[in-house]
Amino acid sequence: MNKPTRLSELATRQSAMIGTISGHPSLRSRLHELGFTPGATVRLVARAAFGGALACQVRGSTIALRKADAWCVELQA
Amino acid sequence: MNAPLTDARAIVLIGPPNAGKTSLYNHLTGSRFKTVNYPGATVEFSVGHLRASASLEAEVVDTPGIVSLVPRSLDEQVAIDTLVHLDRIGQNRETPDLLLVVVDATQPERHLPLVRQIQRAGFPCIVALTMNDIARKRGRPVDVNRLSELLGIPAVEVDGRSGDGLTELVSALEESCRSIEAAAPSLPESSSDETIWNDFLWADDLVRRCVPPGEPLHAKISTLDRVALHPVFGLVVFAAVMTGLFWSVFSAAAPFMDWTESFFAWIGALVSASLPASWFTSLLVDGVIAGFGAVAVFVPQIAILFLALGLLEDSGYLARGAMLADRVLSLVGLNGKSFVPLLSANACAIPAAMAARTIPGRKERMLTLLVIPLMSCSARLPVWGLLLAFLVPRDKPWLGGFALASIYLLSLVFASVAAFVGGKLLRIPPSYTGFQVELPLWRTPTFRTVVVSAWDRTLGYIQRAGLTILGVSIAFWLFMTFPSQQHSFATMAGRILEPLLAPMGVDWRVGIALIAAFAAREVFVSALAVVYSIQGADQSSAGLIQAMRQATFDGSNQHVFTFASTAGLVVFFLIALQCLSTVAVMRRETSNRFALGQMAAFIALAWILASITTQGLRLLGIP
Repeated sequence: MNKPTRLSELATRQSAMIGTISGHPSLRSRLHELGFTPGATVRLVARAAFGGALACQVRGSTIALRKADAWCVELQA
Repeated sequence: MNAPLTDARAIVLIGPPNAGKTSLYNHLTGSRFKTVNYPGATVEFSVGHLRASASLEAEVVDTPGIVSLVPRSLDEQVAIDTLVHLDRIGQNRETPDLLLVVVDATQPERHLPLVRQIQRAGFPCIVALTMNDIARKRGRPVDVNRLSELLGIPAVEVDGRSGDGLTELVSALEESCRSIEAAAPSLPESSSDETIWNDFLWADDLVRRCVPPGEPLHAKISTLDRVALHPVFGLVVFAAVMTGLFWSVFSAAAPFMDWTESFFAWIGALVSASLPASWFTSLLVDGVIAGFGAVAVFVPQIAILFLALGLLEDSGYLARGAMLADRVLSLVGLNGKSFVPLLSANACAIPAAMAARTIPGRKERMLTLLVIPLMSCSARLPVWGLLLAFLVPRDKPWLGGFALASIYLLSLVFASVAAFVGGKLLRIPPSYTGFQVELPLWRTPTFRTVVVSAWDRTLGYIQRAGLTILGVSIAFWLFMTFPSQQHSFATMAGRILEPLLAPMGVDWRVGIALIAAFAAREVFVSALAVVYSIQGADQSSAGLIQAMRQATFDGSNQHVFTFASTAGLVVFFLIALQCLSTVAVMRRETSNRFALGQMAAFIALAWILASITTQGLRLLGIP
């Protein structure tokens, strides 16, 4: 099984370490400010139906974010 | 720049969304602002006098939550502006004397970096640590003395719900305000990725030193989330919550509505029996009591709507709802953050338009503002109640709930189409802000908070609507009675409108009630009540319905309120932007052009679609 490389590919309750954040500068900064920084651990809590938003835990908070935004969070190999 | 030392101090409360700023503000100033378990509940600043201290003269400012000192949405801009433009909100200085940074003890890893940013920007500040009681219960409290030592500024633990620790917080404020040195703070223009990373690493280190090791509080996935966010059950819960919300409005209110109705009928009968027949009695009974009674009947529905919304707000479900709704909303160009504004627009469009400030993307925010007036606000409930009596067969009253649900569904359909078409027509560049929202911890709604807020909101509704209805009912009675009942001013105005009303299948009486509805939509009901009272029916709402059933076009025996014309009216009220207060708020939140264009477009569309509905139904053979 391939190791997930992006937050959007993580399975429910699976954890991983964040690598870099890509995407549009304004989105990237906001993701950083919300605690998605390189080296932080992130865990997927739930996925909404039909490719909807993801809920994940990062730095002690639970954050919901759009799947496309989660795709911008790359994971460490 | 040196702040004058003799004056009252200016203290600004600042912190991440949902950290508990408004609760603290209420304790410090003795205010009673609604506090809500949803990030983004406060979208405007408030200023209040510090009442909790005997020795310190100070003004306290509450602000919307911010994630960093670089704003990304309008509500964050409002908060940041209070840090450097206090003079614009009536204070005699530009920057506050002291910032009270509110930090949620259940998520110090994410809330502490803001403290560092604020210190780096050069603002004098102290820390209020909230929700440490929850953190303690779960074995991970923040050592507040150690935190204060490490930060080099005072930090005080305070419980926003009970007010425990308030005395200590006030002494810390007094102490800090005594020894303020002139500061020259400056906001960062932007923050580099590295700065943000370093701030988080610094916070991680701080947490290691003042919080016992262990799993963060959010690490356990709560059972509620397992269900509420589940791909399948989540949708079931969502559908159940929304259905329950609107079902309770319809059915739980029924007995209260009957009582209110009988009460006003009794008052009307009492007044007409005890006063001699005169023009004044007629004004009182046919104008004021009939007009006010027709709308008062719907206050129980409105109160229950506010109560149900309050329960959702206080539990923490709203953010989950936003997460689940994001997918569908994004299909028509909206955002998960549009969910709460759109939901609250079912109560009133005005706070909803302000709540749209939390939407970071300009295009998504404008589209949300565009469709907010299409949501069925509480002022429309009286209108639905009256019109549904004509659409639902008398022997099948259970169809009423179904019909009301269809109206709400129809409003969603219209809103989706409007957002989609608006997205194509309004040439606003798309923004790349995506959708992110913090999911707060679940909590049991506090009975007191929910009831008090529903009470305040209902009372506000009664005051606002009551005054308008009183004024309009009296004015309306005058227009209907002078110069003579046969040739009154209202008849003349109605005659002029007749060509426009003909396609909708209604007569001049409905036309003037539609005009009166521009004062407030519910006035449509009281205006009709006045029209038909004067033409000789009794006062209660049932009496109004009876009178409407018998109403015919002048000089013919063709009925005015048929299935087709009533369905047309429902469509008209769903779309028409008749509320001038909404237009005023839209103007403030957007521009003259947007607000006036929106009003003109929705009124024209309402007329066209209402006419199509009526004429279409008639073509199908439904009168």
